Amino acid sequence: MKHLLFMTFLALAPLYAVAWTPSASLSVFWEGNIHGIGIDSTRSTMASVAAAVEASIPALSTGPHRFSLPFHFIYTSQSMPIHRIQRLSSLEAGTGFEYSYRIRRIEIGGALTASIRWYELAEAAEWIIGGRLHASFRILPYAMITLPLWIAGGRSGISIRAGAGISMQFGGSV
Amino acid sequence: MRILSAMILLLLFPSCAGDIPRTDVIFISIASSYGTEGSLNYLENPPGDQRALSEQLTYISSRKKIPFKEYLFLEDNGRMSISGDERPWGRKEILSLLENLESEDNDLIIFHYSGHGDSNGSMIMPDGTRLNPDDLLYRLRRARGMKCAFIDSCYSGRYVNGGSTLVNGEIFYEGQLVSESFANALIPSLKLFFTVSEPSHWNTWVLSAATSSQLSYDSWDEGLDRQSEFGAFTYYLLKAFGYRMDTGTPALPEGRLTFYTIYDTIKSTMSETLWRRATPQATLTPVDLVLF
Repeated sequence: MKHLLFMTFLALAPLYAVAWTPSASLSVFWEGNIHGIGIDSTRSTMASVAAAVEASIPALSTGPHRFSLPFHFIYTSQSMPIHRIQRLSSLEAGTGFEYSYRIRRIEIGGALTASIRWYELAEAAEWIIGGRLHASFRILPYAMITLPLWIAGGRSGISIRAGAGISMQFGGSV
Repeated sequence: MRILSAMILLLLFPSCAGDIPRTDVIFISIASSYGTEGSLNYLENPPGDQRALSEQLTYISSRKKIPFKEYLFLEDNGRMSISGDERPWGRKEILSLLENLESEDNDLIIFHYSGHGDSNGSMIMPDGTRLNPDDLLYRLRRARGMKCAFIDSCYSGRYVNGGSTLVNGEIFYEGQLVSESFANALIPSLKLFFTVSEPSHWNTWVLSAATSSQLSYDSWDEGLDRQSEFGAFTYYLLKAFGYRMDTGTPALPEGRLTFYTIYDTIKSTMSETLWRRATPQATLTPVDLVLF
């Protein structure tokens, strides 16, 4: 039974790649945390660097419109100390729902995401709900430069990520 | 290729850490043996806990040229003293110190307690007065500066409960830790996300020797160097601060000391048996306090 399922998966995989043209991207971000961090009544901004790997499975593609299911993994470094405090490094994994509009070499879009963030040193977790906007520019038949902007919030406050990355599409052209 | 190189440089470049401000470190420690050996509530190791921690913090501050002040409330075999001056003390003197402490916003206050705790988590003073968690935390939070408290007593998790914005997936059964995993943290973390609470002002981090329903141990002997000379939790706390147990002398720790590196070191070095019976609890926030 297992062999049959595995063989079926292998047989359908190329069809999946051609029909659904999934994409993946790698991005680097500056992350700032501007709310929820207090030293008494002072709000301070802590900046970190983050790297993200994303994969996207298109759910529906019609003309310039594309609806897809994005999955993301983001590593955020610890911040530099300010007033003796620093943001812990974290690993985040999540999914969501994305819409993008493509015309010629340009794509703009946005997504709503839900993810869980794990802080390694504290060994503790936090749920994050957020939104992402992006603008992408085609540089090769299967590759785009993408400029994402994320805003997300959880119990610990709000974080903003701004960065740049490369997005590749598997099967077909962008 | 140029774009990829730029991205890698951007990732590596801001990893450098900034300097820690050279402001005062203030150490406040309370330790009681509750009479002489043979007394009903006698504890052997709290005076040694205070002495070693004071030595270690004094040493680190001296080597790093950081101004250091300490206030040591000690009861050793019936003799009470405050920073070496023989005089009685209790709840009133400790609260008065916290209320009138001369500290600045960037100072680091390290609070330490080694002694008995009652079932409400209250610290039991040698004069019979009790310092409850709400009173202590209220005055500690009001003091100017960044605060870090290490509490080695029974039921000391009471000082940590309610102070966290994150979840660590611990599951207890009849007081003992039975499971701890990322998967356990998913659902409670989601529930916590939708819970409305007061906004956090992160200036106080607490690490306790046990949960609010566990005992802590005056000593715990697994054959390690000098382990029986200190409280079970304080032994690992001292090692996390860099104290050398093989020679019984203070030493500089490796790398930067933060609240969560201390918690992480204790967790990775403490035996599993002790960890399950007296599970250290830490204030859980995404923000770390840099000590040295």
